[in-house]
Amino acid sequence: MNTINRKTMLYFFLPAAIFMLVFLLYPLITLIIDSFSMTLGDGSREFVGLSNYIKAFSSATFLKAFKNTIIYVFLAVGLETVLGLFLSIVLTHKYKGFTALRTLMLSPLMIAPIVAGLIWKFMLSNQFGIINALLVKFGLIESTSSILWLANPNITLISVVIADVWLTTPFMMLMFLAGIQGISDGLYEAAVMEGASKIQMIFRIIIPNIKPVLFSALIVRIIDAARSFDIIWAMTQGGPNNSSELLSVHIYKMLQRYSDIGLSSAMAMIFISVLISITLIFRKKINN
Amino acid sequence: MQTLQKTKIKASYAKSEGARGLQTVHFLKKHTNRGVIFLKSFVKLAMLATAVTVLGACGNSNSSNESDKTLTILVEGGSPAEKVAKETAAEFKEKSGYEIKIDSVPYSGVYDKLKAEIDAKKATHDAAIIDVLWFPALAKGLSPVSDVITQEQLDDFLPQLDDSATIDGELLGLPTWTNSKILLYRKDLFEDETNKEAFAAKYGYDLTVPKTWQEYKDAAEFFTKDGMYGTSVFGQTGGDAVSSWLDLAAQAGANPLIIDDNNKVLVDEKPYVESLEYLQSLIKDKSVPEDYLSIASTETAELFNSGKLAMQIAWGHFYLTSEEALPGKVGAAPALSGSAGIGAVPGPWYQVILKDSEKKDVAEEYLAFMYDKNEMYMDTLGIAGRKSVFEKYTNNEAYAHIDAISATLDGPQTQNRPKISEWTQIENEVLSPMLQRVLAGEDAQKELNAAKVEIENIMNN
Repeated sequence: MNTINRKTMLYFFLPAAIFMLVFLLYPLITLIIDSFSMTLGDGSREFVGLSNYIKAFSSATFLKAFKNTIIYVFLAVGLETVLGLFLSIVLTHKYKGFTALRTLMLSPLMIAPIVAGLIWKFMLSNQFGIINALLVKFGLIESTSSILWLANPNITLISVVIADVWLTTPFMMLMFLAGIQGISDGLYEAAVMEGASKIQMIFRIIIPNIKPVLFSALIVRIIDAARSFDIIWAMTQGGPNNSSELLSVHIYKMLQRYSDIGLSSAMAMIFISVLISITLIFRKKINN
Repeated sequence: MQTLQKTKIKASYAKSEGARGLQTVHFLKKHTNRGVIFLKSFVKLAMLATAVTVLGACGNSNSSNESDKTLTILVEGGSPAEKVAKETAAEFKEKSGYEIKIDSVPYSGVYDKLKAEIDAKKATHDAAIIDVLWFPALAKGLSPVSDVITQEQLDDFLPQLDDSATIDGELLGLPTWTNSKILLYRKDLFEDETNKEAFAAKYGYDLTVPKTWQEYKDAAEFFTKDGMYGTSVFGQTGGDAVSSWLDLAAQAGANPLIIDDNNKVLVDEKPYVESLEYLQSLIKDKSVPEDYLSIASTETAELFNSGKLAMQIAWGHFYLTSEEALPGKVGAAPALSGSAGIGAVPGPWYQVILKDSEKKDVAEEYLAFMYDKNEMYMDTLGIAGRKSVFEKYTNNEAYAHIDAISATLDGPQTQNRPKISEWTQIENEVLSPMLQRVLAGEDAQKELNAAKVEIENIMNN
């Protein structure tokens, strides 16, 4: 017996549908139309077919930003996953002071990305920054100019990755902590009885049992890392020589600075398509 | 028999239970229907409320509500523009009855907000204070202002200022202040007798405040010792480093800069090569901090004020903060003179009115009012936009940079950047990365040849 008919269900869905239409579908459709158009001086659009997409794929700066984004995501998410897992395992054990330690480790989550970017910009300065000063003090480098974190195009991308890892590892740690706490104690007891080592428990019990959480955390962080803007902008603005420019920074400059609506829309569509593909692949893995 | 009785009892029991079950279903159906009716009404009400809220918000989105007496101004946060706007707000309200609402955002936020408003043809601000660089991109959304002040006041503009703000024959802004890069140096180091003797012995001429490229290079090399660098080179991503390089290109004879009036790209010519090679020579001499690719005005000023630089080529207004950090030790001199003379790229800011503002008449009154208050920028920032204000502070020891700025602005090679809408893209996408590659060691002529092609592509798109 149906107590709620189809019409009523539609009524329930209507507010969400209006919201999605206004804030999701309409901007998306406009983006798609803009990506196939060129905006003229008077604000009108002229259809140009695939011209913007061809321009995007022929642009050396776009391809460089694409490559930088892949490297950034791979490094940042990889490091955050490993560190987050390690810290969550450490924090599942209760010992004196672990609550304070956990709070301290979560503190970067409270900081806005742009603030984190500015903090790291000063810390990594070789003239005034604490990082190189400490490295010199511990004898790891000869002088504060030995590592030019934000001025050497070969390592600037790694510098912004470091800032991102510091900022977002607590998020991964929290996700994994929640997953680990759902594992039955019986499994650990059985493993101990069978003589399993700590490493074996991590790889044979913890990781397999938190796989759904792991995949969910990975997909969230991959999308988030790919979209990074604030930290890059605060630290390097994508320089020097576009060495730390990600797609988000490049698209921002194309749209906001140079008003190339068509080209920036095409780049954004390419970006969205890649992210959707990654999401679908991960969803398949989670469902399996 | 017993089985039959049991069955009857069971059947009777089942019947009564079934009846009770049916009663329950009827009860639920009745109340569920009521619940559904209630929810339907609630949903309709919620949709109506949402629609009203959204429409109401849309209707109140801009400052052009005629019943409110506020004038909304957009300024860079923390800048003298914000400070002076706040200090004069009460007086303007008393005079006009309009309250000044100040919206302050970071530097790039001023451009981003105005661009968005102008593209959407919907002004949320009535006036703004903008960097000269933004005129070509924002011109279509700005209102002409030549009628706001008298001819006498117009004649009081410092050199280049009317030209910078004139697009297609229309003056689009009134100057708040102008600026140029000048040479700030450690007076105490240059006047030290030991230094003078050692310099003369090494270079064969007396140590004086550098005027030429060679003198500057020699002084930078000489003072790089004891934990100090001679000077700095700007290599940070962005327009500040590019304009610093263009100062040198102008001094070497570039005129006009980068593109001429026929859209011919000139960037591969001799002055540009010479100026880049000169910067490379300063780096090769190790007279500058090694992280030049992350250094521009702010970082240079910090280094100079902490005693790590003997000289800095800096925007003129940095004199005041440097003098505060190193009292009595800072001198100011005009920009260097290259083979073509003194040259620099001025960096004025202007007060503008948005074309789509519905309070243009009040905004014009505000602009005229603020032009009369131009001296306040001299107090706050150490620079102004009017000749009469500059003349008042000439020969004032506390404003030693004014003479240097005046001399630089009067230089034969001092000129503005090209007034083309593609300038921001050319500066950020071509010139800035190219400059960084050359500073890092790439061949200047080769890079400039490639930059020429890229600029031509942008212009032809």
